[in-house]
Amino acid sequence: MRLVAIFFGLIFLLVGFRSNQSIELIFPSSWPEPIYNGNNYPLNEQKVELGRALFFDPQLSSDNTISCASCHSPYNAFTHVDHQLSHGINDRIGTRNSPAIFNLAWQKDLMWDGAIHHIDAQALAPINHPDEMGSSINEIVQKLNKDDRYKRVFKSIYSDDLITGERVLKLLGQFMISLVSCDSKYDRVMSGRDKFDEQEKRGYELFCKNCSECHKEPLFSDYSFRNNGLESDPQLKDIGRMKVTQNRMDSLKFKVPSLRNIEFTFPYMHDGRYKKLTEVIDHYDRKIHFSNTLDPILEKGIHFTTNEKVDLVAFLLTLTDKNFMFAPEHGYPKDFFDQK
Amino acid sequence: MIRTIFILILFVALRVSAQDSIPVKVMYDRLELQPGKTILFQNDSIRIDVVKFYLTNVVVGESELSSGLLFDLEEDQNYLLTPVSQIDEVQFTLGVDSLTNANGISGGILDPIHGMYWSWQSGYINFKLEGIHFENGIAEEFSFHIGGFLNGYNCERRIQLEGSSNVSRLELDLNSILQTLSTDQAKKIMSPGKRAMELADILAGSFFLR
Ligand code: HEC
Ligand code: HEC
Repeated sequence: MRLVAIFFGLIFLLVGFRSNQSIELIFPSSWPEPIYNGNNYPLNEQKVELGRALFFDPQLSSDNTISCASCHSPYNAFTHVDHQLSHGINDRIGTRNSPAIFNLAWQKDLMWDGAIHHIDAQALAPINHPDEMGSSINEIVQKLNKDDRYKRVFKSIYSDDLITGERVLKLLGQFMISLVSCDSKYDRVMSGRDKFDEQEKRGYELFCKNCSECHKEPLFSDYSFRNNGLESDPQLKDIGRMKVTQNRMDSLKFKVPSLRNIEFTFPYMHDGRYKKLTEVIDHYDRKIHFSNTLDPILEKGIHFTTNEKVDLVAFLLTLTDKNFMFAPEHGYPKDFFDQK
Repeated sequence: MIRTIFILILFVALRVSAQDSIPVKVMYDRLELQPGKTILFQNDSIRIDVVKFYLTNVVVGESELSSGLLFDLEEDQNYLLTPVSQIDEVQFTLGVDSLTNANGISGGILDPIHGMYWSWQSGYINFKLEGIHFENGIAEEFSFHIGGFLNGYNCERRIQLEGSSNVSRLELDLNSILQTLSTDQAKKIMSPGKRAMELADILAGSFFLR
């Protein structure tokens, strides 16, 4: 009798221990603290795993063809590259380019215009969008509640197997918050583990002088909203941040994107108008479009010689973090989907 | 021993029976509204299809209720559970408070499966009213989705009502908000902003204890 009790006690301990493994974000000590409020729910290993399954699951779209990863592929630092504007169910075309997803724990507002204020609410936007996944959280919850693979894992995490909208959204949030990219050549140089070559060094100096006011180190964005002089597309008529704040001073302002992994996150800008980094630099050099809300820093453009452009691109390529992109724990969770 | 248990059960039973409920009703021209039914409005008519809203952080007398209410005209069970039957004062928030909103997603009546969370922008929808206004033979749809808590447009409204001794229910009177249909103001309010704030003010003055 006593043995049995001890046995069950042990099992309980083990299970309790397993489902309680909280994980910390790992990032260089020189970085600022994440602004994401981990007190809401500390990251938990099992939840992050389950969130990854949801992220890769096409059941989240109305016709079971599109997953979050369709537009946010890990091998492109969680964006997609083959289209200017994102493609959803039935090949419908959205109105904006999908941003790369990493280091979200340091971002206050999500989306190009900051329309979403919390990572847990983020997934509702593509889920409901008729051109993206065309579904609803209600429909998804009904589908998942019939899927034994999910039921089993929910039960082991929450002690009941109820799949709710709240849980699904928070799980996706956990997975996305866990995505930290901080192992590029730049990071290794900054921590003294590597060295820039001469060209990269010159590029870094040009960057610090001309770009880092907005694309601020170490995250390569200050996550503010600014107008960087793109001429507004007459077809898309995207007014950016003003749509959210309804303040005219915010017209044509978009969130400064991080430049980490920039080598892989083309096409560039909110509407994906540029395919190459050299086109982006040409934009800052001679295509700045003047409007009332143009950022004062850019009023005169930022001019470079041909050589300087090459140096600058060389530096930008040091921001690539292949260890992040090809980490097995960020890829398709084959084991989960292979279960019966 | 048995006596103690018996007393305990009696005590619990008494406490449960002391629970009371306040029905919540939506009214137009002093009549209770039925979903999908057409009502007379000025010289024409209106069909109301959706009335859905949150009442949260409810305080009856001295006691704060453990749960709020997601009112839905389509459901027959819309009431607030209160610990007391004598209601002389009620306070509640029409909508979801900004702290809860800032924390992202919640569960229970706040689970986004209930369709009261915006998708392409952040925050809960505090109040939904949808229907069709028939005027001079023209049918015009209207929908008011009132909410938002950021950028100076916080639509949560704290409402305080005094009751008389024989209060039996909490009423939302739609007269004032429907009056706005006969003006040339926008009939589709689907995002936070100035107009949503004005409508929230109108709604805040449309609750009564009767
Ligand atoms: C059809 C393509 C598509 C799908 C599918 C899609 N997204 Fe997106 N995602 C986008 C686009 C486009 C944006 C930018 C939208 C904007 O700014 O208005 C975006 C933005 C985001 C952002 C904000 C990133 C930032 O830096 O601001 C996150 C996070 C995100 N998506 C997560 C998800 C999740 C989770 C899913 C699955 C539930 C998903 N996405 C499905 C295209 C897609
Ligand atoms: C005044 C602030 C500001 C300065 C200075 C600035 N940028 Fe930007 N940058 C932005 C904004 C804002 C965007 C996004 C614009 C949009 O899509 O509407 C952006 C976008 C980009 C993009 C596209 C990123 C993507 O993922 O789509 C690249 C690359 C880029 N900038 C590089 C640079 C370089 C290199 C410099 C220095 C020569 C620079 N920027 C200077 C504000 C700035």
